[in-house]
Amino acid sequence: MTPSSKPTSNPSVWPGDPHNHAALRRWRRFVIWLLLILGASTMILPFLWMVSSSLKDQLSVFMYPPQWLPDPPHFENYIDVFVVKPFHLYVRNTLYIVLMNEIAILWAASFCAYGFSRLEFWGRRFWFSVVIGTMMLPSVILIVPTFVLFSRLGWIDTYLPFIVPAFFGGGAFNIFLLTQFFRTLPQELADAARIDGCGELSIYARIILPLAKPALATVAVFTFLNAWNDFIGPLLYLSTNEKYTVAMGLALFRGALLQTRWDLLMAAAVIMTVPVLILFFFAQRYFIEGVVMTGLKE
Amino acid sequence: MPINPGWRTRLLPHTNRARRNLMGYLFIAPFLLGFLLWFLLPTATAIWMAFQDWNMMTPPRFIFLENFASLLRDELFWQSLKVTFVYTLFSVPLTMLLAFAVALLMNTKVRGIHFFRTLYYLPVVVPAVAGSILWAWILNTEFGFLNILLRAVGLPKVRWLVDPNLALFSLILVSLWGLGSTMVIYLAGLQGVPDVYYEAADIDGAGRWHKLRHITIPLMSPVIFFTLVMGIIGSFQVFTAGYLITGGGPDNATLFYVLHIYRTGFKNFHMGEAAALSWVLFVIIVALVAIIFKYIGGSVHYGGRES
Amino acid sequence: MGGKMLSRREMLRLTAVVAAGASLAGCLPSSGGPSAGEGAGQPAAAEITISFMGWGGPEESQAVLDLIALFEGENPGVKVTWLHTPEDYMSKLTSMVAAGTPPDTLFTPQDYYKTFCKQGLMLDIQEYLDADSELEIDRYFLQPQEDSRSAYEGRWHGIGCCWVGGHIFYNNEMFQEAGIEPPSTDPEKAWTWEHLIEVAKQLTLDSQGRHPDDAGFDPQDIVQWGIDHQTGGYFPETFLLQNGVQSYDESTNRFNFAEPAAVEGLQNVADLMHKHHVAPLGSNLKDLGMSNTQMLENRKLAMAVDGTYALAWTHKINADLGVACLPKMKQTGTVVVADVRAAMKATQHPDEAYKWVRMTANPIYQSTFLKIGLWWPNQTALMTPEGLESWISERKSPTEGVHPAGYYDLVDKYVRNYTQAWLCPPGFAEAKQVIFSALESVWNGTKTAEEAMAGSIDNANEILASS
Repeated sequence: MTPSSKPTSNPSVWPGDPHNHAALRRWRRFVIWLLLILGASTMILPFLWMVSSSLKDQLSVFMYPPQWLPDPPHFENYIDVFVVKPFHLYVRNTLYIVLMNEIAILWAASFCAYGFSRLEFWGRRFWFSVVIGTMMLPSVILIVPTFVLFSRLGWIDTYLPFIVPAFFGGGAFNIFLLTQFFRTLPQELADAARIDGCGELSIYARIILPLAKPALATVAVFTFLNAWNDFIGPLLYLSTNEKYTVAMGLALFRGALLQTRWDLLMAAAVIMTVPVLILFFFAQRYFIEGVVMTGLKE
Repeated sequence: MPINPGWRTRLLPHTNRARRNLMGYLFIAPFLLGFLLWFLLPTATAIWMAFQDWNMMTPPRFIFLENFASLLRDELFWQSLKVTFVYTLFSVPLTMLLAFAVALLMNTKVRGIHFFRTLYYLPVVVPAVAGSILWAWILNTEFGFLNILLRAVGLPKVRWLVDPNLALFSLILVSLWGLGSTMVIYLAGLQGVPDVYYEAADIDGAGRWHKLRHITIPLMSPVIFFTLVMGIIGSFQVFTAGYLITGGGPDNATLFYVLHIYRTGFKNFHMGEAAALSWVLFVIIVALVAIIFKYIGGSVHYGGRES
Repeated sequence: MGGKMLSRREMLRLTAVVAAGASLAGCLPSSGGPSAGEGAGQPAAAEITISFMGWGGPEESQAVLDLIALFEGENPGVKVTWLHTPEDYMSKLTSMVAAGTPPDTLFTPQDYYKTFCKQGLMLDIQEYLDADSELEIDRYFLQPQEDSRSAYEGRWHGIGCCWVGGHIFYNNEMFQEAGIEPPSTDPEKAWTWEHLIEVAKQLTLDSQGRHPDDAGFDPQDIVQWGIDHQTGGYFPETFLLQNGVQSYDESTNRFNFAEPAAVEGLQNVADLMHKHHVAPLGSNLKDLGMSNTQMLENRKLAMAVDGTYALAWTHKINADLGVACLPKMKQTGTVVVADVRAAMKATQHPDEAYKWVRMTANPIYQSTFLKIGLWWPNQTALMTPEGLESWISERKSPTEGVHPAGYYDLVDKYVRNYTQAWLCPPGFAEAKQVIFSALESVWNGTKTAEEAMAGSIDNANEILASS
């Protein structure tokens, strides 16, 4: 796969030739570029196929050769989706969960992160290692007992299982991320405020939080993504149709159709995907930073 | 905000240290409570459950180790274990290798690196449910996109999701679609490697392969190690693809471990057995990670960075 | 959505659970637990609310809502909340029961109904029924089937809403073009099994246009199949019935799936796929990614054996649709089944719950679904000539009418005289699961029916015995 492994008949671009560096570089650039384009198409083609299928009628999805641009495009598929399943309710429900999660996580994670990053107290290192430990912990191993717990609280078929736990710490990953960020903020401002008699609460609320906007944005973006995409949670806890989230509605859409309507399935998948893509294009920086931070700043 | 000093001395502990401790614990209280409620309590419940025969509707019956014994006799347990191991064994290294290769290509100062990075990362944000349904359609034998491509170049159709020998392989292929997040980490890591190392190697007349082998990879080893550990932990938890694309089939060829837990617990309501399954998974992951730390962690080069 | 936020009561419960620690086992749903406190803690409400859990597509859901409006109009002070759960119903229901928050009233699938009765979860409504002058037992035409599904230890715990069962759907154009007489809706004229195989062979083609008995026929390359059988739910029992065996013996509490005639019935259906090559394999269907209805419409399939309800969507296909009785191995006929509308014992308002449950046995409600092709009736009034006329609408085109020619005969003769209730004793669902998994290897051709049933029948009967 490496570019230099491909021999050509033209000796002047053969990598072993020391006399033609410029041509070699150009040739290598071209191959790299070609490979990247090839890979990127593999990443993107599924999206195009999804959109294309979503605009066909139920018989032309089964046609060969396929039409990339359906003629005529069946935009009404996007309306039919809402007829089969109340996706407008699902969107509303999911946004409600997203909103509550944003409030809970932005508060709780930053609050805890402030403690871990800016305060000295007995046992801090130990508890922070607990944070890192729970971050590594595979969360699915607790789904069974957690289900028992929530069901005994009477939380089945409510949104409480998705919201309440978020208020308790906001997730180890978010605490970790914010702690790392808070540590990079200058100590002087807080010290000056302390001399002025400011309490820790107001330093947290008035100095640190405003400075931490980029990191909070990263957390907010991932919170949206997790809440919007979560499937196993709603699958376990939500029972009634009107309470479903978008993920749940889409997952069960196939059964609701009674026939395999790939056109409608793809339209529903597009409906679920578009909001995250929009978010991604507008907040790309925060996505990438979030991933990089967890990967590199261990 | 100025605070009345009288109020302060009355309410807060007298020594500075005690006050500091109190403040610290006040701030991390949400986490501590969450740890107690959503971690320790479920863990205790899971220990208790693993020894019970319980469907949540009739009273539990203490059966000691019978749940674990019946696991060992259960073909599906071994099958799900096998499926998950094979998936991890291929999906994790392949994702890492490809992601590393793409990151290397992208780190050559080609034009439009941001554009490429966006495209490669895009699949990562796609909801697993939408992605699963999309791939189920792409991998359809008669009308799916992949077989249409094969047919266009004159190759026979492949029964990606229907052939029991291929289905798991197909899901591994699907997992590669999400290599963007690993790639982004590697790319950031590569960009962080100081140029001086390469310049020094150039002076020594080192070739590309030599530089990769002796500079890039050692300097990247903490990052690679991190993605390896997280990749393994993640791939042992795969659920949605198996649930939605193949439903665990054909012939249980894609019965992932978590899917087996889900069916045992929430379809058949054998809650005790499901708790036992969870414990086994926990032990396996911890053991695997420990082995990796022991045998691979030792060769990680931390350079000037703190570990 | 206002009630979904963390209320003070939830916080108190949370604290209680923390205090209780791992002694969670103590709060079992049936013995009260968290749910018992809930009613007591609330101020006495003038209005009573009954929850009603069930599945169904948008049409059925709308009909339920209409019925609720009617009911609430007749019963001021009683509200019904519709918990619409169209997919994954049993896990959802079980998790609500397990959580100690069961619905007041519900659709109870027949395969779970008696298990729930035995676990003491269902409300015994026999006394209500006895006192109910309008709802006497003889309003149900199909006996003893009706009693056999509704009575647990001689007492009704629920009311059947309808019947559904298997029959043939076929694409008449494919028969006309091949010059073959299609199957009949008259049970007297039901095809023999040999005739079915012969016709199915004529209607099965590989990509070169060869039939299964032709030289060079390639079973790997079939493009059109003669027949497809559903094999889920009550269909295995139907195959037994077609070969003259009852699937379950009440006197011994044992399944009969391993009887020689039972094995033969199951093997006959498997042979359609693996021996005669006239039926698509499960993997063929997955390859296509189509349902049998879509295959009928796309002329990839000439006949489909499916349930009554499939007419609700199959009548819309763009083809000349026909229906017919199942062929006879020894006899024609189908197992009939339907969910039971019932109340749960845990309900705080049994009187109102019963009132609501009996409302769902209302003929107007039932005919709503008869008209769209979803059900067969279980009420005598809908089986008289006038009754039948009132809901059967002859299908003239994909958009006009629902019931294909001969549907009247199918209901009047086949349903009335050639059906048997699905026998689902306590523990049925779990025991049947064992049979079902074993049957998978029969349908995919890796085992014979004899091997598969011999290997699973004892296990299944053991589960029945211990339930």
